[in-house]
Amino acid sequence: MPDPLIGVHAFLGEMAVFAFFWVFVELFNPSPARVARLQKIAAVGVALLFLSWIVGGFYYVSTYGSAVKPIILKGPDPWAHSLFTETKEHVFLLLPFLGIVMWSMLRYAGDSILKDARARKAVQGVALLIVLIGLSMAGMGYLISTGARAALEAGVGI
Amino acid sequence: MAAALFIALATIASEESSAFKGFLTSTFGHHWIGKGVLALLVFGLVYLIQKNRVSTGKVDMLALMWRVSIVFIASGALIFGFFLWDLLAR
Repeated sequence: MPDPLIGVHAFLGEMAVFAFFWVFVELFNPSPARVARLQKIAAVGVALLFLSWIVGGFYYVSTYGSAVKPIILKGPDPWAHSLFTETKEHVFLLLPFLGIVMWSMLRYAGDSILKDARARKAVQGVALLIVLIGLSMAGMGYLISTGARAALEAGVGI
Repeated sequence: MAAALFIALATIASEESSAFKGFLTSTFGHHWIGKGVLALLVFGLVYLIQKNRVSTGKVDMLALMWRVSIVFIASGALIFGFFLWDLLAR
């Protein structure tokens, strides 16, 4: 059975993506009440990113490096680790900072967002970037799991 | 933006310099944790310096969004490109 921390990490990350997608969509028609709500949603999104960071990081440091990485590297798809785990573990570090930038833009420029379409589009742009990077994290997670599964199917580690 | 650039450069530096990777590992227990903690420090420092500029509306939000997007995408691309180059060079 896969480590449950992988599922928790993915769940938290996907919920964060949903939170920022919510911000992106609802800002098409902003109102004072909506902006106030979105400031809370963005804060929840940032918290989810940090939680996913901590859970994923704990799994990576405590389990992945010693139990999964060697299997993938000996399997038929070592690039799953060499390229995608290495990229994912470092690009993921960027996401909480991007989340804080977006939350801060919403929080400190709330009035501008209501009056100025440029400011609204700016916040939407950062929210969309978080969603796209978040989805790429899920895609890389799939490729890493595929690498581990292919190695196990090839008899590595058994 | 500073944190993003720091993460990208620290990632490449730790792969290219075993001394830097060793420093991160010995100080923080794991090089990945070290990069995260140092990035948090860089972000916190720059955030405190820039906070008042944003809150008083002196920043063009759309221009800021483009700068942030370009720097974060470039940082991600730099990390991916480095590991792709490393993989192909083997």
